[in-house]
Amino acid sequence: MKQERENKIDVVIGIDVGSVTAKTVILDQRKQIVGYSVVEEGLVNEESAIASMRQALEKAGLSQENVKFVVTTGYGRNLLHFHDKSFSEISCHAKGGHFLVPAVRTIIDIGGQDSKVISLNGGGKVETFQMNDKCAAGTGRFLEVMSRALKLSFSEMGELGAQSRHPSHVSSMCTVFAESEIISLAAQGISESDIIAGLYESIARRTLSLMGMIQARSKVMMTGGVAKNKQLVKILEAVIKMEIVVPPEPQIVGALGAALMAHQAMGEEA
Amino acid sequence: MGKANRLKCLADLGKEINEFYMRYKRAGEEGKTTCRIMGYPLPHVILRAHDVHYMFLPSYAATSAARGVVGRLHQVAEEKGLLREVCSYVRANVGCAFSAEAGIAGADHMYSMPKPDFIIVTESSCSMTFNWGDAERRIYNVPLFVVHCPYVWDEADEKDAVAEVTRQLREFISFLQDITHRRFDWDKYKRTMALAKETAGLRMATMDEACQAIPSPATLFDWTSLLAIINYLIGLPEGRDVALRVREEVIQKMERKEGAVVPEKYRLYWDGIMIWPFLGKLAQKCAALNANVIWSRYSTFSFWECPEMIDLENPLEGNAIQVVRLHFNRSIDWLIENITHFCQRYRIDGLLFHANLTCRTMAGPQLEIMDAVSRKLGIPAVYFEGDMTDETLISESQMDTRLQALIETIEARKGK
Amino acid sequence: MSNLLEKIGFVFEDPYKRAKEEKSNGSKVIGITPMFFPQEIVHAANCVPVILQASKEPITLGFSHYHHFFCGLTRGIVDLAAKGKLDFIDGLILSDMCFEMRHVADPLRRFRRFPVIHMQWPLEANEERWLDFITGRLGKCVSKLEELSGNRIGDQNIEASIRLYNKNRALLRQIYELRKVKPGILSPKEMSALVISSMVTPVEENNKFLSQLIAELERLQPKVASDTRLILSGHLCHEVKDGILDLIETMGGVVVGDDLYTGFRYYASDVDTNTPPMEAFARRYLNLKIPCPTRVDIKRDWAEFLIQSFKEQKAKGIIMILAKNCEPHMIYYPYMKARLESAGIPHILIQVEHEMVSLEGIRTRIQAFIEILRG
Repeated sequence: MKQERENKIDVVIGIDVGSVTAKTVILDQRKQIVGYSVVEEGLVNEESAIASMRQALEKAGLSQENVKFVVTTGYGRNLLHFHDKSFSEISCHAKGGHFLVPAVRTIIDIGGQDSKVISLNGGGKVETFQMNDKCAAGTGRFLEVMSRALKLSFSEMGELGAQSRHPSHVSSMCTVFAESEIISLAAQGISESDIIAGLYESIARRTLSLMGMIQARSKVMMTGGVAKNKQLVKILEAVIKMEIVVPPEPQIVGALGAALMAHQAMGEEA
Repeated sequence: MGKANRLKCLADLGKEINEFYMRYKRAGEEGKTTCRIMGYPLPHVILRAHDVHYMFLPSYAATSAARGVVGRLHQVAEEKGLLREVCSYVRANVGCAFSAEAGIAGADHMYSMPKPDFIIVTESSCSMTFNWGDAERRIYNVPLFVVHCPYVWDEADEKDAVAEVTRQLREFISFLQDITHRRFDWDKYKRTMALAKETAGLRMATMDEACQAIPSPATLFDWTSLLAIINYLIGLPEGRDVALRVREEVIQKMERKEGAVVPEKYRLYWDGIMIWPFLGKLAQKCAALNANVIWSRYSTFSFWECPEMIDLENPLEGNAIQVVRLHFNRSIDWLIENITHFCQRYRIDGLLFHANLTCRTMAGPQLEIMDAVSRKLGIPAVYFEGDMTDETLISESQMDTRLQALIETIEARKGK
Repeated sequence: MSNLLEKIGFVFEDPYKRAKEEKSNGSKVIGITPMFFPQEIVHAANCVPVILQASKEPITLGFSHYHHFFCGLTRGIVDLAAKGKLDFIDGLILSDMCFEMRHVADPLRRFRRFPVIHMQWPLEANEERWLDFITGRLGKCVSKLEELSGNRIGDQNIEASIRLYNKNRALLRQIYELRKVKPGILSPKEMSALVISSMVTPVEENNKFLSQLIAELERLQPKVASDTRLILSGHLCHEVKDGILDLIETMGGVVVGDDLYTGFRYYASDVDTNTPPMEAFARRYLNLKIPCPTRVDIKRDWAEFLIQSFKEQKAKGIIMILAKNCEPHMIYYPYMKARLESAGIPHILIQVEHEMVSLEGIRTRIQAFIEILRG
């Protein structure tokens, strides 16, 4: 019976097709999350977006037939040929963040290729935003390159970074040059934990610059894969001197926002 | 591994510079006339003669960087919307202008400077200084005077350019009289100019002699520190005294055949502005490779570089010619010819180009100079990117790699 | 109408096509770097003036002559010159209003492929101080051009040329006014093409073309799907490439005004025919209708101009387009930002560059901005 009931429900979907992962959130008519997924991609493409959607539907015990409206966001938002609407990730992160924490006024999203800071008003509307310049320093890509250089996984990096007493100074704004900078730091005998903490501080400083441009205010939420790194969040809090709220699944906030957009659009069409 | 043995008498310059800023701030507090200057250090002697205190903005940025306090100023400027590609001197000074608003004014004595009574742009082939002056004019809401130096496309253009700048300096003096309600004292100007001429003359002569000596008793890192006697102290007896002390130490070292880098195996030319936060570090790096950076167009073709042209009976014209002859204001052919000449005169083995990412005026002709001069002299050249004050734009490991590569290439060519 | 516009379709891919044709017909072609130098003077010398455009090619040889941290326009010019692709010109007038353009002279003078005439503009819009300086300099350029072209350039010739170019600018302004009232008649890219056509085709031909176009445009009654009215501002010395202008309309905005170089900025100010020509050119430079951030201007304020345009056009937002490494624009920007913020005008800054690094990033920014405007 339950199976039957679930199979009859109408849902909407939000898909965030980023540069590293594709995320899907499924909402029912009461705006409850009934399923979600995060799928790693090689290059941003339609297949991974579809795979993400399928995975989420499967976990929720649903199928394509239940889906009434699809909104996409992220770099690959126009790749999916069957979406009903697409919105920028700025609007979607704001929507998703506000839904989770209505008091949020600033969202920091550090994704694979991008960092953005978004300023919202009390109604959850975007007031203004800033994105990182061409430089990838301060993004997930930066950390990826560093983790390869140090031959550590992200969680190993996080653990080691937490042990640092004297974070080293990594000044370069360029991911490419920063890599050679840490190699020479390592050659000088500086500990891995100090190097990693230095990298995190470098990202934090970059984020602080972006925040300064939009006069960020509290409550601050952090979204995106990099938000799962507790050590980085701690360092960021110290640098920006504000508490940061990280939702349980920070990577799906954009997709959640897209799903909420879908919900709203459906309501408007009804 | 070589050791750095820089000029000892320059160690006190930091104190003089500090006192300069204390005096400037006091003048602001006491309601004396103050001004900000962006561009060439052109009006310093005129201002000194008229008891107007000045802040020379490029030096302010350089000093803040050398003291390690420029980062926050850059941050304040960035929050105002000034992008990082903008000249880092501008960013440091705009950061200073907004330091109170940003709440950092109390964090370092360099962060709080008085509002000026006027601003003067002394442009010589750096069009950006106009934009800078206009921006600060709006920030401070004070009068702006502009001196624009015609570009010397060919040397035949020099005479008209000097006449034009002299005319503008005369205008500036009228402007000064209007704004201070005091008449300009031409006799005091002549006397101050005499000191200026002496100081600048001592600097140029000492540098030339020292750069010819093998080993050289000083390095470019000394010469760039010495620029303080022009930017901060020109026209003051203190400036002349420092120049005399430098001369004395240099002569003594030359007599003892004591080099600034021991042992001096490689003599380098540097192109580009100095990297102010790394002055000491750079000196060490080069010395460790037994390399002495001997000279640069930055210090030799600028900063009151032709004091011998000053006729004390006609000081305004001699003042004007300094800015006309600035290397920024010269054609590419002139640059190539003269850099080649002085590299030969100073027995240079290799060329080191610092492509300062936020100073396009300096960097503009670099690739042409590098190509032409290295070919003419048959010596190797390398370039690395950096900046004069913004550490986020500098990659030390890149610098190290390229410096080392240059030395190895010189060595390889010497072996042939 | 699309047939008419097709006539100038070449301006994006091969802007120098007409100039090269004139050259093979025996005319002398004189290149002029943006901005400010009067084409009228070259026209009066019986030569074909062509204002240099942004390069359409990836920069290759240019990198060994000009650093990457210069603006795309100047790097492109150096690159094309290095490759010999500007060899069709008989001479170049280097209009020096910015050090990034000034230093183009360094490699160009070493290439020795064509003579370069230097015109330096004092960067302060103050007539009292600079009128004579400018007329003197322009006079020197006239002499050098006479030498180069082998033709005497009398005042009467220049006056005749001024009338033709004033007519050209008036026609472009007429189209601008039409677009204000009927925003759908031309896309931003098409407007840009019109201006570029004026820069790179003989003026007599261009005047005829624009007149024909106006007749057609007047008949159009386009539907405009969007009411997200936008003003585009900036990009001071060359065209905005890579379909960014079209992107703005694809994302749902409609452009009702601009102050771009290949836009209103180019044709806003006429040359006064009641004044001797050199003085008239100098006065126009010193009294530009659209304030320019390359110089100090106490009397005119670009931010004020933009705020007025915004109100007049009943726009919803302003998209500022900054060519990467354009220092005059970058230095002006904080003031512009503060003024627009205090006037409550929504705005966004888009940075573009010669090597388009991330069109997706720009698409995201524009889409997000339009979403904000729509509420």
